[in-house]
Amino acid sequence: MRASDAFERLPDAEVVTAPLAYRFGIDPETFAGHRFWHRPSAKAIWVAAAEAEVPEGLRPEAFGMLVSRMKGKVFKPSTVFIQRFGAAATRNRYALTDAQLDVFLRRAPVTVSPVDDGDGAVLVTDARGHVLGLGRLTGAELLSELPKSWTLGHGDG
Amino acid sequence: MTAPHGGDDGRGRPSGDRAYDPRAPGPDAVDPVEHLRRYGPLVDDAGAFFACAQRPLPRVVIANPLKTTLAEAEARVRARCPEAEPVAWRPGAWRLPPEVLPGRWSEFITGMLHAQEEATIWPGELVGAQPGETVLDLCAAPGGKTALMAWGMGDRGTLVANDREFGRLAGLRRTLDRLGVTCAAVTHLDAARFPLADPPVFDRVLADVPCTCEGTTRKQKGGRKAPTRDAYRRSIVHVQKAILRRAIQLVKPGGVVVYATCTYAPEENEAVLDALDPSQAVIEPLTPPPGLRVAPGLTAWGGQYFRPDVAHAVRLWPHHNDTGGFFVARLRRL
Repeated sequence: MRASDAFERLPDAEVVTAPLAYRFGIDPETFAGHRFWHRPSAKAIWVAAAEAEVPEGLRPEAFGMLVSRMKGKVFKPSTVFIQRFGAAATRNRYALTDAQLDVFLRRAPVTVSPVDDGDGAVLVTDARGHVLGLGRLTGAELLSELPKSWTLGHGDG
Repeated sequence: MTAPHGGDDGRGRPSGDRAYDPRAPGPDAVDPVEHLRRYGPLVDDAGAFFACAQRPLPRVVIANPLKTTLAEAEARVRARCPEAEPVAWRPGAWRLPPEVLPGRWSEFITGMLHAQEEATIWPGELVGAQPGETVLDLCAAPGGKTALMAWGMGDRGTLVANDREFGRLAGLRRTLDRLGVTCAAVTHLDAARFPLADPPVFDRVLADVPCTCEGTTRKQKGGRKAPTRDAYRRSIVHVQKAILRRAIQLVKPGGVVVYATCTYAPEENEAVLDALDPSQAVIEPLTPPPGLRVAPGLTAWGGQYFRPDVAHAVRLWPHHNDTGGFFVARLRRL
């Protein structure tokens, strides 16, 4: 297997923090205890605890958590990153009832009331505020953007 | 640790032989714990041990302190499964009936809860990882004990999670990601040849080594039920000794190394500790949490006498706590 590049600090954290602040009102201070990293030869961005350092001589496959693969024109965060930091969202979030939650996790459309800015990405939580990930709102219909492999009934648990 | 290094499946039979299914009970398969009979003389109640080793393992879920509180987790587990019983010796862990599948719960999807074999929880916590430290898990996949260490660190510091099996790294990363761990670096290296630094950088090292997995008979999927060939055991003992030697070299003087296996075999447990140069590390006495019953390490087996401090190691027999089988020792580098 090809040796991986070393992780380096991401020069501009706003690539991550600005779109999250814009759509979800996530205060960039939410990430004060963390730092963003990337590999110069790849597009993906990672986030790691501020104290975490790759020990000298090691070339890890992964460092901290994947923020985004940075494919496509718009910033699309990973589900696990949104789960970890999305609780700070103040806008365009939607708390599913327990009945809606089951539908959402089965990847079926959920009928919901509008969110602040209307159509687009919505940060979806359960009834108690635990972040599930993102959904896409079109009119009153919310669709899951969680990884397909997480769908309830997919495979054998 | 469930999958051993190397390609031998320990049954000595070629995989893909469709005419012979080693999992199917044949006409002469009358003793499902035949391979455990050699350990009968080591336990207080051999009948209870052999009977327990054949019962399905209760599922255990544990609260993720990075994503929830004890009170909230308790309320959610109760709502999902009223029959759940708290694990007596460990707050924040609950036993579920074997047929309950917590992987289907949204609390599992959000990372609030994690499924973890009960016998491995205390060994993982024995590492004693603290916030801000630099800690290494040499054989980390699938990541349950790695997560316990990250929790101890409060997700602050550096946790290197290594595994030699490339195919198991994805599962390791999935576990750490879902549980919200951001202090880990995942490496793909041979534990026995993990690169040394001078001076050593690690405060603590977990060597949860590949083994014959004889303590996993109760698992419904993937547990070892077949006898272990002597040649296979000899080859894996070689790997275990090399990994423990390297773990001691990797930790700072005064630092902690935890050695663990999920097998009963003294060859893979006490004898591996005994092979270590006594001037390099001592085996520390352990105090189990109230409610967890443990047995001391053996000081002799098969005519061989071991260094006296192997008695400080701990054996978790399945019938003592209704768990899987486990072995753990905590060493301090001199």
